[in-house]
Amino acid sequence: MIDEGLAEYGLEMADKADYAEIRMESVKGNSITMSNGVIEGSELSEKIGLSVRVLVNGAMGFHSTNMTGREVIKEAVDKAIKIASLQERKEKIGLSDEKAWNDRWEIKEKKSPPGLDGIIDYLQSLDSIAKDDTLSRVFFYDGETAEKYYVNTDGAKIYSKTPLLSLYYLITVGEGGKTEQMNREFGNAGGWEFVEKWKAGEALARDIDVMKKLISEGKKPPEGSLDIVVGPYITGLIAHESCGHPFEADRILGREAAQAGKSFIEAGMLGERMGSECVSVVDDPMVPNSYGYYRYDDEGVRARKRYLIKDGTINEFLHNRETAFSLGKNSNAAARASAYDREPIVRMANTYIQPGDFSLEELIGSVKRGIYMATFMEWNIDDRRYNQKYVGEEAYCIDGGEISHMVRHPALEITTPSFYQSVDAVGRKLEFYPATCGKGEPMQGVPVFTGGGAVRLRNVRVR
Amino acid sequence: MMIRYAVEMAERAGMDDSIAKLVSRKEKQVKFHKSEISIIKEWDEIVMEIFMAKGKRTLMLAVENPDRKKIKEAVDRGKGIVGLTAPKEEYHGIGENEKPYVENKTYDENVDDEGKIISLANRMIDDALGYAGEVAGVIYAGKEHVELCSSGGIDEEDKNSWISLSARAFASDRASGHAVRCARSLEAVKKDAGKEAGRIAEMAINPKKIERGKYDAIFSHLPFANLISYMSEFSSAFHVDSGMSFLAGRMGKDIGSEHITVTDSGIHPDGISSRKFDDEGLATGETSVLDHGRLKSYLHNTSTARKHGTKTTGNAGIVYPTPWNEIVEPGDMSIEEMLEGIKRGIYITNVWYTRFQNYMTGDFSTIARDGAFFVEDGEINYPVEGIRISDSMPRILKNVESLSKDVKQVYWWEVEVPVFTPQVLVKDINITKSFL
Repeated sequence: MIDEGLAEYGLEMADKADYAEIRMESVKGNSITMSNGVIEGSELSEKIGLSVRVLVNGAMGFHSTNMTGREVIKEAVDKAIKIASLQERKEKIGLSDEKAWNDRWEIKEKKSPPGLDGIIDYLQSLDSIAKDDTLSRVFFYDGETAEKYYVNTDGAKIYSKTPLLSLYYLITVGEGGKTEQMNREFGNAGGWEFVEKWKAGEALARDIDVMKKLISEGKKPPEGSLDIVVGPYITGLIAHESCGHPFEADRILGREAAQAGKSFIEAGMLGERMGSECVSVVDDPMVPNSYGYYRYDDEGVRARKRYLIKDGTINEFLHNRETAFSLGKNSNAAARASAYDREPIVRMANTYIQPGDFSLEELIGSVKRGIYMATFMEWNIDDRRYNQKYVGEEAYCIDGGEISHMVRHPALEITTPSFYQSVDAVGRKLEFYPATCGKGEPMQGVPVFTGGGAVRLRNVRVR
Repeated sequence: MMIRYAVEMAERAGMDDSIAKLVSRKEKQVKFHKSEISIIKEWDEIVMEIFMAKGKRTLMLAVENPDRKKIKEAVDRGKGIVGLTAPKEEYHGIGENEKPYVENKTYDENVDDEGKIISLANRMIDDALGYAGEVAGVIYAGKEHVELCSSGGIDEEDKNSWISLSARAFASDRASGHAVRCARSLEAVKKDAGKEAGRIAEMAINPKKIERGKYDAIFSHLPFANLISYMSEFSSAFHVDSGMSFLAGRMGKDIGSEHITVTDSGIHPDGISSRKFDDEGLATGETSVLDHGRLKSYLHNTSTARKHGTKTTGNAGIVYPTPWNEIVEPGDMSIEEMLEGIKRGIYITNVWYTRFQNYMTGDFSTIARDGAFFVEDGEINYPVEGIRISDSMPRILKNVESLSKDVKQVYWWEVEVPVFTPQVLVKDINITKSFL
């Protein structure tokens, strides 16, 4: 239960700051780990705390505590002001002017999650699908409900309540000394009704079949210059990693340079062409019940859909109020904090390649010799978000416009501009996949969707 | 004492086993970029974890900022729920302590002195700017008081402190250098991270492309620590049993070259993750994981040890055995001597985004970031860019050729388990890069 009066009292105590905000959160959750059918751990948690972030003479201070009470919050405010005042910045930090919203919102659960025993029954039912055909399997379930109350000295007051459910599995299939692995994540903002929609058991059974087939029938992928059709499971990751991240304005401005890295995109590149005209990349916090859903960001700015790439052109970066001020823009509500004890920084929400006009059959049908990559395991991208690699798990050879056989681990290693310029068609079916995006100091994992239509790349090389 | 109260409450609730751990933690961060401080942060928190077991049914509870009322409510709630969990047949209690507790590690009450860490940040900035035009970095300094009480009669406390520095200098957008330092006290931490980052960045100006193929590679401290940090996670018995480790099924086998020896230590006097006891309250110690290439032990808590027919290594995590600090035994070579042995190779100063295709086989790739240099006939020739190590953990361990005598403790974003490591020469590393 959040004491909203306490947050407002804290703001009153912050009159020595040029700007102050207080974020209080209460997160109640449970998590279960099951390995090879054994419930290894069950955990109940209730995380309650607050943070104070202030600007004093263009310098920023942040104090967080999980203790509560009037004296505690006054002390927290004083400490935040003190550590901001110790800095002597030449270039003053500022925040963009934004409307101060007063609102209360929540996502309703249509169906409440069952008790711990019911969740364990669900996990064990999944395990029973996999146990005879896998060498090992591990499941992680997590459910939580987060209540937040946010206030700032500009007058914003936002209450929110968001239930989140997620499931992750990693399975290993083996035969004749060979092994293959596949992991999947499921997640939504909402109630147990989404667990029923995930159909995780069907996905699990299919993944097992695919890996068995890969072991028994998979061949070396063709090499050289090929056309590749990449499914939404991978295009979502690509949109997130090679468009979303380099379009984060704090990276562009160097604020995350020490660890998370910078960007090959520069502030002056707005309006420049980056990909073919059929490519648009969207980041939208308002996708209903999405894993990255929010109505206001963690600076109280109202969320909206952002076109990062529009018709192949660099259209918009992701901003919080600090980066927007630096670049003379308005915030587009991309400030997120993973918990009360983390600062709000520029983050994605639900990032996807906007669907086009083609069916998957049409995309594949026009490829004479190529590869269809449906899922991945290994991937990485450099910290400028320029050089990237995606290694197919479920992948097929395309011969004469038709799927012919499975191929083992084709690796697409490509630069970001080359990827977006090589796309000549985008599929019409939009699919979303949940993920946890990591960034920040300390690390902040935030829930997101990645997704898109499938895309077809012409004349790229794989190995 | 609240921990004793929590265990008492759990016993009254009919639990067979219980553990209460209370952590009071204070930490500060100074973050900087574009050569100025970006933000200063402070954290102040108290958290209690309560483990309860009734028969083979177990439950973990977390209570923030606990008082007696919250503890009682949590235990009462847990009592009602523990019966709903499924029995864990492989749960074998919380163990009894058999080793002496080791306390000879540094504790610095003033490690988070804000004036001193701000000065340190300014020094890192100034040092880096002596070589490069831009610098970013972060300092963490913190301390914790840990109390643990168990139904097995353990009642212990511990104090830890830590400081870590990370500096990244940029001589151009494509020429960067990264250096980290860490220690258990402000006095002990080496203050030259900015200088080293700047020097590497300066050397990395005007990088060139190289061809895909096999190269001998010297992994400097940061990149080898990254690989060992992953290996330490994979040495947890939980990962082994869950299909998340290439070490599974290889106990007692030679999985690395005779030159590589790795020990997990919870008692290293300078290890920033050293601690007196694990999450069962049992004394931490040293565990030989790899001895001259031979896999000697996984990391265990009481239950995983029983399952594997051995004794706990003092690495509980109640659910997951956890690595503490990894120690790679150094060799006797200077870096110059190691370079001399290379006809055509690469000197790698950092890696980033290590990702696995298959945890069981250890197939993975990782990206060389910051300064990487082409080595020819024993000399560093020119900086390179855009390369990726696409190989496998078993092959890399097998191909370890030599190790330097200089050792650094590495801990940062990409090295989540602190690793003491020398620089390491690995033969025939597979290097790939983007085709377009």
